[in-house]
Amino acid sequence: MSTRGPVLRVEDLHVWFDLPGGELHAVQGVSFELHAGERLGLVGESGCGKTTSILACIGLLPPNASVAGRVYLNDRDILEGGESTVAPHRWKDVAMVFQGAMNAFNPVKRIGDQIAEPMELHRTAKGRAARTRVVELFEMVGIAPERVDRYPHEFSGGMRQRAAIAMALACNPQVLLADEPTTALDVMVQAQILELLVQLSEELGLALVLVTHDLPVVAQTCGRAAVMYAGRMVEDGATTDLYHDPKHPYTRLLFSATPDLYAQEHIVSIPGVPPRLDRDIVGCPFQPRCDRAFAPCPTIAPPFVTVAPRHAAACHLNDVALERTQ
Amino acid sequence: MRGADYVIRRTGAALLTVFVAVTLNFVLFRAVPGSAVTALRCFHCTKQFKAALEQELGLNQSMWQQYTIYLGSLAEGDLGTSFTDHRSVWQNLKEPIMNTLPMLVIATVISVVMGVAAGVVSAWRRGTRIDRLNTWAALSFYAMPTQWIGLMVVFYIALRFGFPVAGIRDPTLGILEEPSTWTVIADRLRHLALPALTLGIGLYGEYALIVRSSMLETLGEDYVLTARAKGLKNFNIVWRHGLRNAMLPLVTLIALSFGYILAGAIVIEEVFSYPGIGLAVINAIDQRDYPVLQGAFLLLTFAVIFFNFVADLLYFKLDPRVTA
Repeated sequence: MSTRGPVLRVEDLHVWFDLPGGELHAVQGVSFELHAGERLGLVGESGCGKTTSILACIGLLPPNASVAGRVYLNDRDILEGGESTVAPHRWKDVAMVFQGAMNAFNPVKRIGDQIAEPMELHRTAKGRAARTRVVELFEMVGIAPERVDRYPHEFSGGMRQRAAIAMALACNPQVLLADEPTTALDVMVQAQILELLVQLSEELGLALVLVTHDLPVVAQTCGRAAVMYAGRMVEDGATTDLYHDPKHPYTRLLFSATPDLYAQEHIVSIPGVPPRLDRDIVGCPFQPRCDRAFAPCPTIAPPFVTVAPRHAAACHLNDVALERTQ
Repeated sequence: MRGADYVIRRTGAALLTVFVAVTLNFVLFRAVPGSAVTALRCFHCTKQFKAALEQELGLNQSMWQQYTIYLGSLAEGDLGTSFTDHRSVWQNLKEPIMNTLPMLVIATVISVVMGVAAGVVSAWRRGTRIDRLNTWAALSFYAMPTQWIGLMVVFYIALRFGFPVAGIRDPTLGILEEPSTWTVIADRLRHLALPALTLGIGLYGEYALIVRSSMLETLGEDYVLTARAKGLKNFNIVWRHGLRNAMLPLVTLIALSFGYILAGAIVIEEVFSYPGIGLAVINAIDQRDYPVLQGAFLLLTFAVIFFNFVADLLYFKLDPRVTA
């Protein structure tokens, strides 16, 4: 990890969606930071606000969303002035790889042209230089350079995702936000793509946020993981710490709900459903499903605090543990 | 090669369609009870005269012989001779077609420009007042009968702004002096402006609705979100990534509706007394001039097939996924 400050720092991010049935508080105060070369896995159930959070960071939410909070890119708040301050950073500093490997490319345009497009837009290269760069990127992600003039439908799913990664790297970004980049791919290709992401982040010092609901993917790829529940951060720490010593019951249950080839235990599912986000949540959002809820949980929301070195969590149980040791 | 193979296949399909259309055209007019000769009612139409006429028109031969003769003369470009003025059918139809074509082209341009603009704006501003206004306008114009739009255009535009409401050429033109080419062209444009506008308005509604829904679908695609993440501004997203994909259904629609456009033209030419193919068809029906009618039908069929062929090629050009 570099000694400089974090590349990306998200502070108290909130997102509300204005829906016909009322307002939905989709992200309720998410904070995290990310250093160059670091890989953070953002995990949680569907609808917990993972994708919404990262789209909010770069101002890509639909018009019915309102965002509050601060997103610092190298200590400059990029959300401060709305569209005008965030737009110059899109792709140039913060690039994305989307879930729909199949559909990230416009079907009627050549792949090479689509990769060159952001370079010309952000004036990092144009014409012949842009083309040279595309070929270079193709080599970097392991696609034969003679395929630059092909159309998306002539690529397989895995190749399309490689090309999407090449496109994300076009302007040498500092941060790469990958939203379920491997969900649509088969296991072999998935492993290759993850390996590629790890290798690129190491070689280029790229800070990577990997959004997924797939814990083994995070374990395989990311040194750090952040667990989200009901629009909030519930735990953030080194992946191994989260696995061996979870500080939040949700994290623990999430790991035991994941099938493990070598483990003897049964898979445990977490009973109940996440709370509705269109009304205020009193107390801990996970409390109704928690197997260790106690007195303060239904009324007092646990703060998200540091519970061990480089390990934060939002659970009252940690206060109890702390009191016991004192 | 992808291109050559495709063009050959499409050309083959188009030629086959032409052949079927020619055959149907022949059968259809023979299936009508009676013939051009039995329909004749006149003082000197004796049996002998009718027999001689049948002989002259070739109606006494077998269907098969008539069919081969018909095909043979068609192959030589001979569409037959008009019953009324005894000029060739082609002579009768050439001028009306030349009058109608520019009108149709301008009408199509008007409707496509209006339809695409309205549809794109609606899709981009989905759910806003401008979208609702656009959609209602499009639905209304789509639902209005073309001839009624034509009458309204005559009442509210032609009379107020002094546009001619009939014919294709100012009858006073060229009486005093030989008019310059520009005067003739300007005069022609003034005459076809309103019929073209009417037809364009009648067509635009459908295009606007199709473009709107197709654009909405496209704007929801992942590559549009990718384009936004890449930093493209709204206009470029629509222009570079939205429009071409959203246009694909429209290309097919325009080609398919070409027959309808012609039908619309017939009604509008009646309203504006515009001496085009529509008016020629109406006159031919009035005078039971079967050869002219048959010729007109055939040419219209060719036109429809031709435009579908063009649409196929265009579609191929626009969408790299199309193979065969």
